[in-house]
Amino acid sequence: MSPLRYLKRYSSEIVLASFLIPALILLLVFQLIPTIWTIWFSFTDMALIGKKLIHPSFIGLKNYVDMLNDPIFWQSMRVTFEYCLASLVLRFILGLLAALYLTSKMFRGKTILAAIFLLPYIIPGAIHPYVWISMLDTRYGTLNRVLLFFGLPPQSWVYKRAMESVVMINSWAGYALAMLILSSAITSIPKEYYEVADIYGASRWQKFSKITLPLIKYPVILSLVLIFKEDIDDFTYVYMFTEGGPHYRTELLSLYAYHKAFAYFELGYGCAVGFVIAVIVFVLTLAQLKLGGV
Amino acid sequence: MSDILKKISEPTLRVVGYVVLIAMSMYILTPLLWLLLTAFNPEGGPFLELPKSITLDNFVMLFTGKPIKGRAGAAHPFYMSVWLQNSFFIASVVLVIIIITASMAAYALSRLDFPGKSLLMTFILLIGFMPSMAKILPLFKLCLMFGFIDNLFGVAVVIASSLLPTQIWILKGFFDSIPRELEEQAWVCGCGRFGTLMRVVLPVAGPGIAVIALLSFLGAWGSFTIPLILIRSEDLYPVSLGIASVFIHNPGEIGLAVDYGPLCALSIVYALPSLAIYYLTRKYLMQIRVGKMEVR
Amino acid sequence: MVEVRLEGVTKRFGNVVAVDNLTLKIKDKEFMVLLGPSGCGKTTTLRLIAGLEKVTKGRIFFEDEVVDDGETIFIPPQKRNVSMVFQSYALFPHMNVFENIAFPARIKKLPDREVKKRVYELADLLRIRDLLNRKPHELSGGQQQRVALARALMIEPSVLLLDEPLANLDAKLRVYMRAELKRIQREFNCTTVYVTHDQIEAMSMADRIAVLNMGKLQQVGTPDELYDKPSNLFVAGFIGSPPMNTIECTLVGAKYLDFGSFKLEIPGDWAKVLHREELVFGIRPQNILVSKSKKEGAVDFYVYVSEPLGDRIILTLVKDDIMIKALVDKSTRVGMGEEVWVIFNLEKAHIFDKKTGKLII
Repeated sequence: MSPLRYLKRYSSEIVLASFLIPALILLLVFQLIPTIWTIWFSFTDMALIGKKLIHPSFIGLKNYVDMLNDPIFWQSMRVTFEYCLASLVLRFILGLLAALYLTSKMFRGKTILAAIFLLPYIIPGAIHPYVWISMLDTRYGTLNRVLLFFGLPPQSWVYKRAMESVVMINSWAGYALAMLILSSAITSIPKEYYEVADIYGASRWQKFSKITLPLIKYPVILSLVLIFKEDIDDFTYVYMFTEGGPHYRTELLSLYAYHKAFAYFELGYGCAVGFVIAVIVFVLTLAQLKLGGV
Repeated sequence: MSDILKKISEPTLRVVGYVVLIAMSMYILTPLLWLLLTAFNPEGGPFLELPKSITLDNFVMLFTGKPIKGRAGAAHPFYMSVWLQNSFFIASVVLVIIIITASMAAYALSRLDFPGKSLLMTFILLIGFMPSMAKILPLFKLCLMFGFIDNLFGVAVVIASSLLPTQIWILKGFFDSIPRELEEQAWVCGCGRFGTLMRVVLPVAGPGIAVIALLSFLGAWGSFTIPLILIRSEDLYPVSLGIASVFIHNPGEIGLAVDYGPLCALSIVYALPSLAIYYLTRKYLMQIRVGKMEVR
Repeated sequence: MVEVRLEGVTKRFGNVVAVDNLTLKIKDKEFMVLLGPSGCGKTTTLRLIAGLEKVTKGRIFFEDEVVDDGETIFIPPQKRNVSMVFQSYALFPHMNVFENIAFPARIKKLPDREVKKRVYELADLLRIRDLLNRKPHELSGGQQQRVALARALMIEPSVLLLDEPLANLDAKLRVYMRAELKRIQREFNCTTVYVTHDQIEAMSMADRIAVLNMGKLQQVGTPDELYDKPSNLFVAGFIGSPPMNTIECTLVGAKYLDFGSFKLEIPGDWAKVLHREELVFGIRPQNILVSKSKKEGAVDFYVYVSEPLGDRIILTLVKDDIMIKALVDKSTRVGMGEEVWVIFNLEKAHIFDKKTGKLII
């Protein structure tokens, strides 16, 4: 059939296809192109001001080499993994606990509990560091007051324990992700399994370890990976609260990239770091697919 | 021995459970409690205490535009109500952009079949999953070209683009659940394509689109990094940047030059839409939340 | 009310041929049933007539007008003036019953008074008058189906298309609705195309039946024609309940059919038409005589299973590796495992070519 006839015959389908255009344009221009540019720029000495903004030159892997030679980069890597690991543990455990409370038969008042548990997650992220000022202030902060109450030494959270502070803020705000995934996974276990276990006299622990845990294996993996992927990218808290912390103590990779690009104006370098983050996430996603087939 | 263990566990477990629960709840609520208390406190500070007097002044300050000093040594006063307006403007524009573009794209993706469709869908998904740092850095240069720097509308366009992948996926799911036969029946009854969209598809998909709209508003409302890169002038700050500007500081000096009362009031007002939207959409969220897995 | 003609219609989905070179004429005001197993292309054919699918090759006519010619001409469903009832009924969930039924008229912008009148008429006819204010999800399956039917009859369609409308109803309701549908069709006198896989439905409702298998038309004719003179093995085995027995055999000389475990003498005039040797012998369970006493020319079988139906019995009879079913009167009292003598009523028997499956006798 000639192309003109084809057009006429399938005109309504063609109109429908054109519905995709606005969204695709937006995605192409503001999502795809920046991604490609990040990769491209990482191989140039593009800067944010001056001559190099208009006429950058291709410098191959120099940014990456510089990066690998920069002790701050490695510090940043270390710090990022510290942060991610600590946050992962805390976010997951708190989330699991919360999920258990929400799905257990022992505790009542589920709606109120759910409302409380979800609160930090729902409120906008810029507020999180702000409300934690009251907890972390050295002289009057609530945390130190509680410590004093128990006879423990107060800490200089913001100065000496910047990493711990940021991890606390992150886990306080972020456990809800694991909570949502796990609680929905737990409630989707048919209760007949537990009834059978009851018939055979299983204990609470046995029911948990032999029924609940194995059946939520995949959601657990999913939540762990999602949490890690979120944390690798974390920016807001360190930017607002510690600015990279005393002596780069909290200079997460994303902040490092941002600083390089916008404080030092070395856009190319910053993109290289950004690319590194992307690669890490990519590897993670592969691992997730392999592990969970999700 | 294990019998005795079993016998002890039940009540002890309960007690331990409650203790942990209370500890957890306190941990969760304390910072928020401070927020609430200090907002009504004329002399609030970065510590938890019952206000000696209650006042609504802080909230009033938000909307009458009394200036507040945020930076240690900041030169310009700025108005928190302006921040709220900016956030509202950005979020509204994002809402409109998303409703139009995401609905159209999701509908087409749901009803159309063509070679490369699954490729396209995977592309949309992947681009949405990329870490933001990989996509954001070049944005400055890109937006320079469009004149989107210091332009609230431009910021909204960029934010909308970043939200599109997830919103399209969610909406497509909604459209998929509307049987094609419903539309075919309308066609057979003499209804044209456009008429069918208006009379049959949209009324049935209405709830889904409403959810998307609210979620996009929410996403734009809390957006931080994109405005950070694209907005330079203080009077264009959305609330997220506004609160952050209070912080840009010398470490250890937080809290020196900040008027806590109004800022807490601002935070509460800032948090209200998020709370409202989550409350309104929680039923649908439970269905969508875990994306690819079978959920109740 | 129009005549629908399909000429050489082929429909391909990628590599799959759903409808293969179908030529069929549906007469004006006729109740035509498209019958066949799942995946035979009957629903696709219906959708092609409706305009919900476009033909890959071939032409479709409504009277003399081409509605689809596979190339440039394609009239969309909106303009074909057909009505369709889907298997799922496709009732609009956000409208109540009244608005659902009124929908086609509202599109045509008919005056309110007329719309109301017609809706009430149809609602009375289909006995759903008291449901007009309800929403679809509040109705039972049978009620939903009648609403869908009312909506289809709202604007007098040129062709009424029904896609397995009774499939989701329970058995009793199905039997009741079969009669109702036939009655309504007579009353409204529309050309009707009805798709089903249930041959009992087809036989009881159709003026003519078109049997399809794997996209190809097997035979088209009245129920009697299909029953008495199936044109190939497929149709023979599909029509009739219990299905026709088909046993392979070979022609020996001009006198016998060899079944392996027994031989059957055949009448002389058969031999004249039988040229091949590999044949299939077909006989309906109703045309098998079973008796406990040996008769002239009878073959001995033993009873494998006996299924009483109330007034008749289905007997599964086995001889060596041959298994057949016979439908006998209740008076034939035989138990399982007993030996019986079987006579085949050759006047009602059929012979098929084994290779092509086509009917010879």
